[in-house]
Amino acid sequence: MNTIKLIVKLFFFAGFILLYSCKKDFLKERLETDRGMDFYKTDEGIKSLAIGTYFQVFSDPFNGEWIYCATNYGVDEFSVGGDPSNGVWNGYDVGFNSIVTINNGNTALANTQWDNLYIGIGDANLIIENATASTSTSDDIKKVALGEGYFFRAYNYLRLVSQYGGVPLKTKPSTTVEQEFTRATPAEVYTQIIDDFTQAYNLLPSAGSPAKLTKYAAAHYLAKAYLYRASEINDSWNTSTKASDLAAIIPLCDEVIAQYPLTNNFANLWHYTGPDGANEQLPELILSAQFTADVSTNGRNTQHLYFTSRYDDLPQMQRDITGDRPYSRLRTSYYMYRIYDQVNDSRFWKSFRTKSRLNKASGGYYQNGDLGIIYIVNQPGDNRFSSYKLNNVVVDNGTGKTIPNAYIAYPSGVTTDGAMYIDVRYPSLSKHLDGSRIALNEQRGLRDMNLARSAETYLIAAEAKIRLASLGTGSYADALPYINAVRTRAQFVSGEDRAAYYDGGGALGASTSGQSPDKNSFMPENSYYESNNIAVTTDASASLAITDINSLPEGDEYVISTLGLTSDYDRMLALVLDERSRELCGEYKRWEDLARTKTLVPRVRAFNFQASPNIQDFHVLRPIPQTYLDGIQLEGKALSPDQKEAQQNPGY
Amino acid sequence: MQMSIPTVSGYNTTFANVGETANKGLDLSLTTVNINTRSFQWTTTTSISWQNDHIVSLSNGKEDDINNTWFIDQPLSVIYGYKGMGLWHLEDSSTYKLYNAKGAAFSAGKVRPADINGDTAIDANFDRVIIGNTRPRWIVGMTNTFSYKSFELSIFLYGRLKYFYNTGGESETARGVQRTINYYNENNMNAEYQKPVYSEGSGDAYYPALGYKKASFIKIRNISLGYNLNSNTLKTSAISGLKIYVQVVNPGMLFSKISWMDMDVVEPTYNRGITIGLNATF
Repeated sequence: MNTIKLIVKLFFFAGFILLYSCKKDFLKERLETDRGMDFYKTDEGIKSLAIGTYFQVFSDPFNGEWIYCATNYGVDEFSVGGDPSNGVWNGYDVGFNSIVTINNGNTALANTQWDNLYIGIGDANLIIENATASTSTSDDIKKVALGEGYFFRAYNYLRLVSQYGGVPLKTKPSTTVEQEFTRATPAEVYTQIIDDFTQAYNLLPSAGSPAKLTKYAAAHYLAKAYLYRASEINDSWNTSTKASDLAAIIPLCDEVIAQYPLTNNFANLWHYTGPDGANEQLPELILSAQFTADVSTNGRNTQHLYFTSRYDDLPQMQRDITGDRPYSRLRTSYYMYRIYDQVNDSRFWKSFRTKSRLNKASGGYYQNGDLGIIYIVNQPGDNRFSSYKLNNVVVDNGTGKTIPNAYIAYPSGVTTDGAMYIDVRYPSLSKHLDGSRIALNEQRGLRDMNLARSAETYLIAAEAKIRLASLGTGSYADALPYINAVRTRAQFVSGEDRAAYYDGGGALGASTSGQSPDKNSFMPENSYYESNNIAVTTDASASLAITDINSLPEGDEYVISTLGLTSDYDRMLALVLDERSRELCGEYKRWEDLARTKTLVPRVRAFNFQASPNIQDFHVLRPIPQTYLDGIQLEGKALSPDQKEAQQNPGY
Repeated sequence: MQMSIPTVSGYNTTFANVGETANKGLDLSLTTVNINTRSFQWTTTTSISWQNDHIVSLSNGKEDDINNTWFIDQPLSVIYGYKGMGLWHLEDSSTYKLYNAKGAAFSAGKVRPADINGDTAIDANFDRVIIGNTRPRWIVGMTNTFSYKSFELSIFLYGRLKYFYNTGGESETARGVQRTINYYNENNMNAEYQKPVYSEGSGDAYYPALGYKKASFIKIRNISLGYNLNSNTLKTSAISGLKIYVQVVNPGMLFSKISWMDMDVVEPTYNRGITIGLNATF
């Protein structure tokens, strides 16, 4: 009796919907915003555009990881610390290419730097166009804003050309979507840079540094651009400009040096006590990226994170504001331990944190305030220590107690570099540490970042003198007065406590965190005496001045012999590059200095143990980002794979 | 809509009318009463929808736009990248050595990307391809309801078919919190994912290629079983009807290409619930 009923309901909801080319007007969208481009035609508009560009070009790069990847990784001074989130930028392995594979949220992509620099150039082009067209008679517009526009553009092109070689030249703002771009030659890019810096030099005022652009900042960077153009990487085409470029550098540098005297104590540069404090106003500073405590500003300096080694996971230690949040990205290389005259040159002891205060006492023996961590940066041949790591063995002379954590650069019997590389511990570069932050894990740092200071101007002039000497103008010894000015400033002076130490971690007084100073891991002391093993003295140190180019300081002779250099020119270039490290290490310049002088490959092979197996000659230029190659067109057509390959730098 | 543009222009993105697309689709719903006797009924409602879209032209002409992953005559939403061919194995050593001679660093247990142009080099310009569409071609649903005397059983199936999903791959570069994965090692050479390479560099540069997965699934969204009691059975007039039921939400997949994710909610975790209820009518 089964009745089976079958009911079929069939619904064609949509049937065939074919959306094909509706009437064009139907899709027309007009995007209208409150503030149009006309705003930039007003004086107020140009000025606010310039302020925004200061942020984009100088400050924004320091919010994030790509800037140290592009300038401090993959060199002789630093390698990867405990966290390899951006290791490809140091290691030059196969992953370092036009697409950088994302490891995690911190990875700096192949295009991050490129995009950032071109956005800044776009802003600069807007300033230049509007300031030029402006009918305003105000000096603020016609001179200052215009000068700033030229400076910003040249500054970013100089970074681009030293990273990528020839890049597309864009000197007018875009008002429609443009996709037709092609790379200019390095010669064309340098011509643009030098023209722009020259314009900036003629237009900018002389007062306002280091926060605002001045003619002296333009002079410093113009000298730098000439020096870059005259460097080895451009040897195939720069012969016609080389001699005049080098000659032009010296008066520019002298002009800057006269206005920006070196600070008498190197430590003052890093004596950060709070946002916009005295160390950020020193006369030595030509230009700084500005950061303040004002939370209404976008500025966010995260560079305090990256140079710090882990301390908070060691016995008797915990994380605190003054120790900073240790991202452990940049490990100090043994190169840095070798190049200083550690007894007479104060700079290593004023740039690196070698002691940490015990801040989590447990067990009754220790109390907070004892010495918790010591890095003993001794030299080969020191047989006092049995291992690179000694826990509760080394005795602190101050308290008579053993130190829970001691690390030793050269343990007994070890004369080769690298004993401490087994672990991820190293004395941290402390130039950027920031104890004024609002909490111990806060990423937003408040310190200014110096972009140019006159110590570098001296070294630019010194390098120009060396290059002139190699062309037959003057002698190599002409460079010595410039180098010695920087070196003698670094000597210990009579009466100076050589073990005294300070870094920005000590700026706890400016922090609103309320952290008790008893929790500080910052300790106002370095391991000078423990490392050098000499008697306490307050005499002035022996002069660091170099008097004979055939007898360079021991650290430089070590580098020179490791690299197998023999000619006067190579020796003197090595000296100036070493001096740049001693003075400017970790100040976001190194990769470009090594790449342009073509010393990158030998120095990385000799001193960067992680990158040495991988680096090759083509690594003196960065890969052109794939997003650029994929996005551009040639005569209305997307590029073919072969055309893309032709625009890529060789080797990538 | 927003599109990315070459940054050399000074901008990352712009808003534009970006192109023309075409779309075909079909929705079908079918209800059948399969068995209908006095004591037993079985009805089935099936719905099927199919869609196929493609890009006709873009604002830049009939030119592919890789940065926005828009390709002429391809679906609106696709994955573009290196195609994963599984892993390199020991027996491939003569092959991967050819690549290593050109600068690669392949070894057994590393990801093997497809060499599209066959030049024994993996290159971003030549060897990336469209992996597949990310919009399901088919969306299917089916409800079966059975009733036998006072019992009622209903099962709801739902599925999406014929599409790709980018699971991201496994970077294996840190000791993060993570699901169990079947990775290559000396004792497990027939693995799904590459060997972990921890170094100061990074992991396997091609690991994302193993993350593009076919994503089809059919899921049981809901099973409910009810028992109806009417006032006659209850022998009382105080309650006119009483229904006792058990409902299981998300009991499981009939099949899913990606075993560790619930592709219905596109999450690795989801709620599974059992509800026991009493529904009284007065």
